[in-house]
Parts: sequence; C-alpha cells; structure tokens
Amino acid sequence: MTITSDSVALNQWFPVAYDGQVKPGASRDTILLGEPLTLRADASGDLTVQTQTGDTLPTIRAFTLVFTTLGDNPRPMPVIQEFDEPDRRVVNCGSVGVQTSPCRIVENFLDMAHFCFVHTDILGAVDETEVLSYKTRLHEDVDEIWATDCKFFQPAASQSARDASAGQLTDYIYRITSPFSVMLYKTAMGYADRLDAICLFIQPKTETDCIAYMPMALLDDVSSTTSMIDFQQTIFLQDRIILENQRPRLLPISPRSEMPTRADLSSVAYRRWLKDKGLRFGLLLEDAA
Amino acid sequence: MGAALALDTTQATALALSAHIPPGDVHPAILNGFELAVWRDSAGQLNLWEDRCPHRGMRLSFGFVRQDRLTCLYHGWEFGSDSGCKRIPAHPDLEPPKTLCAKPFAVAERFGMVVLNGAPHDDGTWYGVRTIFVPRPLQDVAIPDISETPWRTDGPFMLGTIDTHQVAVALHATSDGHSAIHVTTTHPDMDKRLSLARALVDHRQAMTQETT
Repeated sequence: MTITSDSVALNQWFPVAYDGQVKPGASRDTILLGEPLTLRADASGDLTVQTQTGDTLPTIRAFTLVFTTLGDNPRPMPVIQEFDEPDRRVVNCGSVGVQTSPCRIVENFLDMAHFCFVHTDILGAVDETEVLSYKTRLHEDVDEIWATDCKFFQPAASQSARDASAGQLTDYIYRITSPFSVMLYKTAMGYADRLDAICLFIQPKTETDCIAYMPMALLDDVSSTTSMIDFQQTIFLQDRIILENQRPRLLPISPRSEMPTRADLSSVAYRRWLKDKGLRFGLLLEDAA
Repeated sequence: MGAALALDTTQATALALSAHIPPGDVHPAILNGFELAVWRDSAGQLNLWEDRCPHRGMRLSFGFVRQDRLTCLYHGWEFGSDSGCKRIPAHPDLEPPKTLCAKPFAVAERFGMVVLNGAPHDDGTWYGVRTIFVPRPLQDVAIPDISETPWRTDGPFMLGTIDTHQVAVALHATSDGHSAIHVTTTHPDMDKRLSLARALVDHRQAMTQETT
C-alpha cells in the first residue's frame, strides 16, 4: 500500500477517529489515503497522529471527530454552526466500514430517489416515489455545492418523527462540504424554523475501502441517545448493501458511463465539481461501459 | 481496480442450471470476473445481462422481477425483456428514452443449462442436479467420476451415461482461481439425482481439501 500522489485528495482534512474511540493511554493503527498512521491517546484522551516515519500530523477536533491531513495546504474545515447551538443533541454514531469509493458514499447520501426502495417504510414509501424538482448551486465563497428546495414524503423521517406520526413531507437541504464530506438539513419534529443537521465525513483508507462517520446535531428532547444512534445505523447499513454492490466501485465520471435523470441533479453537479478540481482519487476517469 | 473487464462472447459457456432460475427469478453469475445477471420472465424467456444498472451501476442481480420486468434494488428502475428501461419511479410521468438499456448478451438453454452464446436446441427434459464451486483454476478442475461410459464432448459440455440416461457436465471459471461445475441429467428418478448431488458435494470437499 502506498500513499496517493493526488494533491487534491492530500489537501483535505479527514476524520481518523471519533471522540473516545482510542482510550486514554492506548493506541490504534489506521490508514488514510494509503498511508498507515498510528493514533496515540494521552492520559486525558487527546490524540497524536503519526506516520510510520514518525512525522506528527496536525489534528483538529470538531463535530465529535478527530481530523488530520497529509497535505501542506488543506481545504479549510467546513463551518457547521449547528454543533455549537446549546439546545441541540450532538450525537456521534460511531463509524461504519464500507468497501467502495468515498465518492460513491457521498453521492448516495445526496440521493433522494432511493429512499423508497432502500429505506422502505422509513425514509420513503413505495407508492410515493416521485422526486420533485429541486435546485443546486455552487456557493463560490465557501466552494460548496448546495441542493435546496428538496421535499420528500417520509413515513418515519427520524426517531422522533417515527414516534409522533404516520408520515410527513420532509424538507431537505444538502451541502457538499468537501469532495469527501457531505451533510444535510431536514425538518425537525416540532420545529417550524430550525432543521436537524446530519453529517457524513469519510476516511478513505484506500480508493475503494472507507470508514464513514456520521455525527448529528439534532433537535430532539424525547428520544434516547441509543434509539437515535440505532435509527441512523439502520439507515446506513441499508445503504451499505447498495454501496458495496455498485460497479465499478470507483465513481465513473465520464458522462457516458452512467445515465442520470432529473432526480440526479445534485449528483451531476458533484461529479462535474470533482472533475473541475482535477481529483483522481476514488474516480474512474475513462468510460466504465 | 474498477477498469471494465471484457466478456468473451466468442465461445459458448454454460453459466448456471436452468432449474435454478424459475420464472420470475434473478440470479448472479460470474464468468472470469465479469458479473452477469440471469433472469426469467413469467413466460419462461431467459435474459442474460451485464450485472449493472445503467443508471448508477447497482448490480441488477440484487433486484427483483415484477410483471416481467427486472427492477433495480437501488432506485426501482424497471427493465423489460428487450433490455429497455420502461419506468423510472422518481419521475412516474417520464417515458424513459429508448437509449436507456441494460446490456444484454446472447443466451440459450441446452441440456438443462443456461448457456452464454449458446444455440437454441430442443433437448427434451433435463433436470438440474447441482452446481458446485471449487477453489481451483479451470485447468486444475477434476471432472467428477459419475458417468458409466467415457465422456464425449459436445461444445462446452461433456456428456455421459447413468442407468442408460444421459448426464451432462460443464465447467466455467468464476473469479480469482475459482471454478464452477454444473451437472444435469435426464434421469427421471429423483433419488438417483439426489445421490448424484451428494457425490458432487463430496467431490467439492475432496478438491477443497487438496487445495488447502
């Protein structure tokens, strides 16, 4: 295994652990972009991240995760103010291994059309499959793609919604916060003007072997933390069956490789944005078909 | 990793037992690492496609057959026996463009097996016995000793005899040094077919142990 030479991929912040994953005084080996790393926790649990040659990498603690970078000039961390709002439940859902490209995982997170088929009776219903028209926009100041005006009928949009009703039209806003991270805002049960925030940060060990982290900042005074984590893990494990069986595993970005439809507007924007950045890591550049 | 593999369509290759794919069912098959989906509509017509939805690459063998259409598990796109996409649930009012297709390969049934690039042939009644998978490359696979007469070759098949009835064996390379052995027979006695299937499981056991 060798480290990637892709400078776009190198110059990102990536999660390598969630808070508390490495016990005080313990260490843990992991891999980032093909580079083996060792995480060591001191007596207070703070992590040091080192390469095999003993170089110590910078770290940032944010969103219940520990981030590091292998680049000299990393893209700035996203600003997600919801994690600082005191009345929110900030929940760390642990991590899940997924054997596919990090870009396939981001793209699946952006997709509403699969709710009815992959998350049946939870995030979608088999008789309400239509994806209504929505908008995507590149916010150049922060270099993020946002998808707005997204609406979808959901039988059980969250743990709190499942307990409260038989279904609702859920509003969604998606933010692609880096080539390897994405988040969404969705209707919070009982709030007209505030939205739940759910993030997906990916640690690519290799081009087709990743660890996904899903911190959330939710407006929910009712559900137990365990039930909130169970809900999110159930959803993600349903997605993993899909993600590990997409072919090719690398995301093909040549327009002839896969055929989008209108519902894939955000996926099309994401692929074009990756291509414009000159990213190669996790992508199949030639035709897949 | 991820580069497109090519499927050898120049020769006939048996990939599965016909009996394993009843009407309304879909199964995966792998030939030299190339992933295929085999499915049958309610009228019995067999389809052999690349195991990949043209939309977002999901393996179609994870899907399901409803109303003579193979439906992708990911977004519910429905494909008919002509391989064309008939419905996109995200846009119920949209008529999918004619160019939106799964990728089909020529398939026929012979001696009770599903044959890539096979020629249609009326063989009478054949029964599925068993497919076994062995951790051996094709050239190292031993043919199970189940025929009472010397094997004779017919295309990708070896034909033999059991109690005056016919037995057919065909092999194919799946992936990473693994192979499949398919066996069918015209023998009408189910007990005899079950004992044949047991013999094949023993054969697999023997080949697996010799390898490891």
